[in-house]
Amino acid sequence: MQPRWLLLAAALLSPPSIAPAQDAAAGADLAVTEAARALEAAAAPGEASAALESLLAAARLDPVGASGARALHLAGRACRRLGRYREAAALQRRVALDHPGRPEAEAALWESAHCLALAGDAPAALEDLQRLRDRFPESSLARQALAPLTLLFRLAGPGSVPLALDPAFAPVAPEDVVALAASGDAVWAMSRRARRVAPLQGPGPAETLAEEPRGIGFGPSGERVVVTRASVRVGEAAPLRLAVPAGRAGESGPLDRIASAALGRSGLFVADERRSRIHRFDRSGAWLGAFPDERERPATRLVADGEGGLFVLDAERRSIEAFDEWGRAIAWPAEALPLRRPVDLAVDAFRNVYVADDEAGLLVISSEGRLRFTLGGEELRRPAAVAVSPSGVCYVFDARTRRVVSYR
Amino acid sequence: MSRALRLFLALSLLGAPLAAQEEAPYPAAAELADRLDVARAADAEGEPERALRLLDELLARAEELRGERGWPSELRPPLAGAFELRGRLALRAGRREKAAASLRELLRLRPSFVAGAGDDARFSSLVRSLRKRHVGQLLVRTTPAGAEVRLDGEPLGAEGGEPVDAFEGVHTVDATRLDHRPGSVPVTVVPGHVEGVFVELVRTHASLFVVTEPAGVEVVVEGQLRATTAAGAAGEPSAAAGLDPERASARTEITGIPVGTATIVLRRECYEPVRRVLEVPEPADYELPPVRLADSVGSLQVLSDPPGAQILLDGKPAGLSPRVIDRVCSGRRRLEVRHVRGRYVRELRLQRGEALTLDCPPRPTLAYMGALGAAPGEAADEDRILERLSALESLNLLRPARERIEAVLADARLGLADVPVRGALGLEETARAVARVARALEAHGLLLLDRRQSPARLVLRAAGSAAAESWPVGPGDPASLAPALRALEGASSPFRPWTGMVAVDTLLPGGPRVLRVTPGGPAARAGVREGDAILAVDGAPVAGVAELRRAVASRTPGVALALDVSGRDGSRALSLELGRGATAEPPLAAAGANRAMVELLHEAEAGPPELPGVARLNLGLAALSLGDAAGAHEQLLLASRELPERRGISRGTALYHLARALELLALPAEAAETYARAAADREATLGDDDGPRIGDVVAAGGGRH
Repeated sequence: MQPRWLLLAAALLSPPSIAPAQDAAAGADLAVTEAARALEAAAAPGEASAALESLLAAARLDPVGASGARALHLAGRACRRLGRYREAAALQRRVALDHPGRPEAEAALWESAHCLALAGDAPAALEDLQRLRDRFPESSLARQALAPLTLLFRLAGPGSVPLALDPAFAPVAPEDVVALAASGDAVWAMSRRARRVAPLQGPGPAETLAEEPRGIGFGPSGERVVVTRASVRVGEAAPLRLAVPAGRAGESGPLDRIASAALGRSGLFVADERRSRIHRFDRSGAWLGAFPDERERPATRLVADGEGGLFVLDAERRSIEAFDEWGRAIAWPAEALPLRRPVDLAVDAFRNVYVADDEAGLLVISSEGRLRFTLGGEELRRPAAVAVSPSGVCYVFDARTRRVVSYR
Repeated sequence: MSRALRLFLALSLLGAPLAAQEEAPYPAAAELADRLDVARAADAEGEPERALRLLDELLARAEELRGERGWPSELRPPLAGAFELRGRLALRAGRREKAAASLRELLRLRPSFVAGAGDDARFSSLVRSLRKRHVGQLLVRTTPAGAEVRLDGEPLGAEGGEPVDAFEGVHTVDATRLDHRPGSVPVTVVPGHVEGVFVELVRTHASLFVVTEPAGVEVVVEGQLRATTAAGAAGEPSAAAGLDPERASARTEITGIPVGTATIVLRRECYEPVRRVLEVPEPADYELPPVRLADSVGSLQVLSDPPGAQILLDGKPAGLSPRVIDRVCSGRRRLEVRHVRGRYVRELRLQRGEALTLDCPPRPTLAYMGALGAAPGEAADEDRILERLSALESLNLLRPARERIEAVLADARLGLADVPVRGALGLEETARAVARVARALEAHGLLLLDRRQSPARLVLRAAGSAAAESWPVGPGDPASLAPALRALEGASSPFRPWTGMVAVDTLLPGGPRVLRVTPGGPAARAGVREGDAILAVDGAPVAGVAELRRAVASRTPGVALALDVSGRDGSRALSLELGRGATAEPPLAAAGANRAMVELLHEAEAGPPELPGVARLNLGLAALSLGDAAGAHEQLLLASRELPERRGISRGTALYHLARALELLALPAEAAETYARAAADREATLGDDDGPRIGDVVAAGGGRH
């Protein structure tokens, strides 16, 4: 059945008019609002696809007007959620180029750059990020664009040495780091023996944990996530004691052997050692279901990416799997990669994956699963933990030298 | 025989000028003249009796027209003719009494009448006899002399001459003279006698005599222009000592100056005005001391790029640029510099002794159409606004005459009130009509003041634009004009200096990093390589792309930039000669579309040879931003034909936007086909020459059909 607004819009479109009538523009506006709600609430790819089609139809109702620009922008975001990055970038570029005076133009450049990078076109992404800075020099997005510009230029810029050891980075770090996390200028390390998390760089108080530490990371809004054997704490809130609700035979009960956890845009993912499953919870700790499915899936490290997806490392099986926010496997040929003894991984904003491999060094893998380069040497023999900052600075703990090094 | 034919024959026979008949200003006089002609024709045809009958009828009709003071002046000539002819005919017919009565009446009307040498003896004798019995003479004198004299209201000529004939009886002599009270005297004329008449006139106003150097000076008395001093006769010594006799004026009289104090201003363009106060104690003649007016001139240095433009000062040719024009009269001057492509027009106020230097680049032109809903008291405000607009650096402002504006608007069937809105004609027709009006006024856009709103708004509509834009202009407050002036001054060309490289900001040490170098472009020729860091431009360190862009934007194509760069091979110093790049961007807001269109219309005439296509492309984008799909389609279709298929802003760019216009026209199939053609131009870009390739944008779908 057609949505109500689509019927209205179709009625307004017939017969075709030379200039968009005010009624048609109003119809398009209503259509965009409803489709935006539908996209926001989409719980499955089909629903997002339907919202996308609605937005494209609305854009055609008002090709040069405000609602048309908004519809295109939202359609671009729908494409991005569906993983159709090339198409998403094209839509956002239409907004930026055909509607440069509309409020969406600025965000459209940001989106198109990210989508192009996710599609593997880093040069085009760099150009759009720079266009954002050129056209909206005073905006906050223009300031934020510096980090991804730097990251992309480091990884894919012409004529540059990808990453080089930063000799100036020599923090006092514990000797048994099990996890690193970076956000902005802040770098945090987690120590197993001391059961402590502490900043290696940037502000913040060190903290001693009551339970065995399992991991540390940052959520999509920059909130710190501290994971222990039986709890997950997000930001300054009280630690969440998570459980699979009753009623699921053989499965219900508390999660008391957490291997790893990651907070992403689509929820809190938790690797359950006891059940060999990954569960997804909302931010309040309510169980949403097994992710991506009910099958057993041992995982030693979870990393949520900026797209709502999840990267899963199984150190035992030396495998890395990736899923989008809907739980669909992302084509990512990890088996072709020279993984020997992967122990940790980090993912940047453009799905470049940084794998700490105890034997192979630090592997940097592109969003398409292609090995970009490997870092290693005297300073890095046995990588044990890795984190990457938004601007692409890599922090790695070397189990042999027991030092944290930085590559920039 | 019809009356008209008879009249024609009579006139032909008598040789009377037809024009004189046609021009008779007084209908009754014309009627009598007609009747007299018919009577003459009857006489000429050998029918004297019928002629006499006709004359009797004529005179009977004339009796009906006689007023209390006799016949009006206009009737006197045909009446005199009628009495003379009737006298002659009656005498020939042997009816002497009737002849005498007629000729007596003739003498009453024309006392100076005498028989001619060709007249027969009887007629001459009768006239002489009648003159003796009825005609005397008057000799009129007035004080002062030179008055106009009338006898019974009929002009008698100026007094002071010989005695004049007058019919017997009581008459009134009137005398008038400028600046004097009129005089009137009764007089009785006795046949055969000369009667002297003296009329004394009393003076009421003074006269002023002026001599100026130069001649042609306007004499303004109490704010009213009263006279212009006339040129002196060649070789005539000046009436006033101290003036150059070759340049001094004749002695010029200004009459009618009342008793009291009179303020007199002597003025002439290009001279400093002189003010004098004259005491007039009594009505008499006064001499103003000779006045020499001092020059009031400045000079203009007119420059232009390229040189050789024609200079017009106040509409008159003044040579070719560059040129220094000396002795330009001070005051408001209109300078026009005509280039091969475009023109520079400026109204300026030149002060005495001022030396102005003006660069005179071709600029777009706006025509000021007037005010809507203007109140008379607000005219000064309109003048203030126009004066500020005339000083704009980037625009010519024309002020066509009101009659011209009305004629052009009428020709385009457009009302002034249609300019700010879409108009009763509808969007497209109004746009076309506005284009016709602008073309007729040799302008790229129309400007008007809309006082129907409060505050008033300054309205701009580009030629062919689908919608106007406007800015508030509060009354009396100079600051209120600032937004309008900013908007009118700020327009950019679709061409910019071009480096042929794309650089990006990073957090890496050093300046912006070169991401892409266009093969064969300015940066490539200079030796810039992808990955280089730009450290300095012309010796000034560059921290980011914004500084680099500013440095480039402040130069013009062809200028060389000194670049310090660092790359894999260390630091290098390079010289990059800027090229010219095109842009194809819709105005950032619909509110800027008209100003952008005005600039583009001008550029299409004045810009480099390859510009028309680029200008048309941008005009199409401006029309799209105003929702004028048909106007956009027209411009973009032309642009797609004019632009070449090449890298950067080119044919594909025009096709891409043409497809958008087709979408707006609800022609999805045509739009899809056109998008495909646009994408086929692999190297065509959007935005500017460094923008994304259309193929990349369109091939990915982007929601197109």
